[in-house]
Amino acid sequence: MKKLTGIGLSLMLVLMMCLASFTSVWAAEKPRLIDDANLFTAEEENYLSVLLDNFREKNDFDVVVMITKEGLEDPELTERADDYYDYEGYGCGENNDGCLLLIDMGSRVMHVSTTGYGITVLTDYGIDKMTDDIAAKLGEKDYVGAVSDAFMEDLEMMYKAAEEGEPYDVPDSSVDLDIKDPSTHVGIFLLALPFGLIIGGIKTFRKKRQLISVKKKKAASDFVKPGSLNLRRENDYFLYSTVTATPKPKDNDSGGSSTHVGSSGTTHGGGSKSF
Amino acid sequence: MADLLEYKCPSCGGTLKFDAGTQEMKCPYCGSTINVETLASMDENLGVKEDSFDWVKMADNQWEEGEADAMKVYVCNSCGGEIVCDGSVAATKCPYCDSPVVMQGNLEGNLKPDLVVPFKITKKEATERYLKHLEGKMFLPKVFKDENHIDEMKSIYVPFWLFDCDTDASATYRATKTQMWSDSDNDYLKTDYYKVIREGTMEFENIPVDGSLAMPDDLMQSIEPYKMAEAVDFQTAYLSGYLAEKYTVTAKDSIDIANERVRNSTIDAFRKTVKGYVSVDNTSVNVTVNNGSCRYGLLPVWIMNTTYNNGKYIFAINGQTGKTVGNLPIDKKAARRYMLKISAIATAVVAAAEYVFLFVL
Repeated sequence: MKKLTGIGLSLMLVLMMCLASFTSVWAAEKPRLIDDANLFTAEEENYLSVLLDNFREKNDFDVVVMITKEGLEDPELTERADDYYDYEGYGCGENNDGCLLLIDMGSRVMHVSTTGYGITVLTDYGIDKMTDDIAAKLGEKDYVGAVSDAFMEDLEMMYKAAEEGEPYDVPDSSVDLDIKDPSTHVGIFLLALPFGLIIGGIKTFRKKRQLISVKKKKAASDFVKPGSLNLRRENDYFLYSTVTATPKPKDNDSGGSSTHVGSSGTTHGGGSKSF
Repeated sequence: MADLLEYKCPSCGGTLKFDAGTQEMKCPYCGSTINVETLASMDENLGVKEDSFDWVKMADNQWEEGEADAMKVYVCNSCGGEIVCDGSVAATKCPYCDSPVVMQGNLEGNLKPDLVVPFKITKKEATERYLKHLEGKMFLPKVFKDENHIDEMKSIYVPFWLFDCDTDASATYRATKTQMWSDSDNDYLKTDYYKVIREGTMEFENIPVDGSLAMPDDLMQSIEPYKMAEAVDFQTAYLSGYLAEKYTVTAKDSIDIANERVRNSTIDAFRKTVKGYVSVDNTSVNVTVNNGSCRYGLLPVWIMNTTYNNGKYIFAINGQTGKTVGNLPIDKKAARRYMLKISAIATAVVAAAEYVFLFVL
């Protein structure tokens, strides 16, 4: 019995390994460029597919480009991109690392969906830059350039940055001060000077005011008979209320990637832009 | 023909309509609802009153026959001051402007003062007060301090009109209270608007307005107040050894100053009774002065004139309380040096704090 279980287990293991390798091979053979809008010639399609495949093989990071003309807009566009990526089984490694660029020529809106390590590589700020660059190329009707130059070049740059430990994100506004740098001291002096002048000005003004003791009196409060104020009517009527709501400022500069969960239960990052 | 009554919305000014459902007046423009009773109470205040000032009794004390005979009047042709002496003193110079004075005659046709506040501060005390006035003034030119003008100190009874009155005021304010809260998306600000009404009376006594053309009004207001409880009925004997000025501005011509001060004080006092609000705006205030009366009094003042750098400086000391006033010249160089010094020190302190904050903490 024990032996049987052992054989069964090893058999299952072998089967699973086969299945895994099959999935991986199958995944590798899946098209990474889906052009439902017939935007590209067969030649261009070939060229771009090679670019996408090469990136995947080199970095173990899936890249999919999908062109539709269904006239989708958010939130359907985001759902479509996420679902296509999840249900078609794209992605590398156990976290399905990768990203998908969906361009809808019908609604002229694009969406970049990120998954797994893709969420780290493409931050909100990065996606904003990337979609800006793509939109510029699409505006020039340079569809190949939109994918090969704008999308892929930005992706290469951002992937490299993430690999180096600093994902492409909101520029760090804090400045590192160097105490040896003379300009630091000039800056500190220039910052302190207005405060110094204000304090000096106020103190001088106060001392100057000591010289003035003659003032016109506007009221006669010294001559009110003590306790003579007698109110015969004191009414406070409530009239009405107004309520104003001010939206809380959203912290846009915090950087990082915002995420949501797709219908398959997978967490995605991403961002859309019209062009 | 029946009059159509229109009520205006206190929020936006639109015409209110009666809402049968809520039994309240509703503004179709901004959506405010106003309680009918509130509107009715506001209605009482629709009639706008005007300020009125009713002075019934003015000073009219006359000299008795022969009483003022010994009084001599001198006139300053430079500033117009008119000086009265009782014969024991011979006035030669105008106490205000130091110009020579000429004898004009006696006090015929003038009112007799109702009361006098006798001098309490001696020349020695006045001198001390003046020297103390110069102390601790960093920008006072040293030369000014060193020059000695103390001999020029003169005592004088200054003519004052002393006004008593009651005021009756009604004031309406628009006031707000606010409340703030937040949820995850928004910050909320609720503003409650109120109409606040105050009506009542106040009493004033002995508001002094100087009846001297030569004496600057602001200088005399600055040595206020006098303790009028110590005032006594006027006797010519009080003038013995002192100069006095004859009034050169009549009570009637001084009333405007008293009216303005009474009105401002009444408005201030009523405003202070509106408490517990974030903002309070006056929408209407009206003040009427009733039972106004006025007396003619002589109040004691020590006075000193001096010139420095072509500028005239006049100092006054309350002859009863010793309160000393008088604007002083400024040493501009000293002020500039001081400003530079303090600014440099303050800059250094702030810079040091920046270093500590940036590199130590």
